[in-house]
Amino acid sequence: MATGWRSSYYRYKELFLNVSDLYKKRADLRAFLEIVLSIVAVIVFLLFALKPTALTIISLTQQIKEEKQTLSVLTKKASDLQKANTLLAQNSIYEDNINIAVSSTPIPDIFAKQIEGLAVKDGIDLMGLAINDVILIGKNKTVRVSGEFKPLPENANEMGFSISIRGNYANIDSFLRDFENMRMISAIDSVTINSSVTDAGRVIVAVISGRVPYLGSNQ
Amino acid sequence: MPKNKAINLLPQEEFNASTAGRVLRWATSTFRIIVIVTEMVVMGAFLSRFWLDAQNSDLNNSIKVKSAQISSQADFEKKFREIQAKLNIFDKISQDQDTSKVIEKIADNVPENIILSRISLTKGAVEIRGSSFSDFSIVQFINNLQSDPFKKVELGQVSSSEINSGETVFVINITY
Repeated sequence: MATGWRSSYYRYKELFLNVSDLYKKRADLRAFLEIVLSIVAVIVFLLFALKPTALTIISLTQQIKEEKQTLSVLTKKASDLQKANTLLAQNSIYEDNINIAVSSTPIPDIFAKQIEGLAVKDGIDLMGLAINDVILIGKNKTVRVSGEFKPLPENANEMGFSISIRGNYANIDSFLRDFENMRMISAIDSVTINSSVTDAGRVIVAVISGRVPYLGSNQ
Repeated sequence: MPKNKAINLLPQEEFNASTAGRVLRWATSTFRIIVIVTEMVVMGAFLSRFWLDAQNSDLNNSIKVKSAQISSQADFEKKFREIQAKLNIFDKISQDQDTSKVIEKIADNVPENIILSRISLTKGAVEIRGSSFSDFSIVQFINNLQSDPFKKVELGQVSSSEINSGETVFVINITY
């Protein structure tokens, strides 16, 4: 073993000394070695220093770009909220009217009172007022679909109703106008005016069906 | 007189004087520059990372601040959106409210000899039932309705009254 190691040592020592001697003597070898070392240095720099840094820089630049976009959107939103705040403060006197016009929850009692008030005002007999089932307390489990009628705007919930009135034509016409212009808005789906002759004379009965929108908890 | 000849007394290595030697010398000097430039680029990239990191961190902070500002106004935003939705609902429904106008138009066009027994209005369509002793009045009524901006006016059914002889009962269908 010792002989093998020693012989190898001498062999390699001789090889390196020869190479060293050649390097000192031959200028072309020196030059080629410089080129090889330069290329190795450039490759090492490119692979282990420049590439990861460049990748990180690209990723950071991308991230910064996205963050700038996010910040610009957030800034716009904050500015819009500020404007909305000012706008709402300026129009706060109308807020109650808006909340009566389209309520957040179904208010069948107020609707019934308004209809009764209109009936008295226009001098007609309120024969009947039917209001469909609505959830007064709690959350709607399903979004109500309007069936055969056009869905209400903003996908609003609806409180269906049917009003039967009796009176002369002028009063019924007046009731219909007032009902359309009532502060509490409602979508009228159908109106039927029936005229018939009874023992008491000619009787005009009108049935108005529609839906009162409310925002509900799903908005 | 013999001409003076320029003699280079400095010893010149054989390899340096050769074409290959010159090319190699040029290559070594250029590669040195390349290495230096590469190092500079690497250093520049390394330093720019700090600047980018700082910028990124600043942006993150700004986003957090803005998000907090917006989150604090979440209740107001919800309220404002609700009001906007309510106004939209009111606006769209009130624009569609034309029932009384349609009935008024029909009533305005009824000739004297016609008695209407039923007006039924649903989803852009009206059904009118009436009776008259004069056929001419029925035609007149239809003509009047057609001259009004209704899309379609059709005489649906015509029959003799079972109660009053000579009286014609009719049904007119209108689309608006």
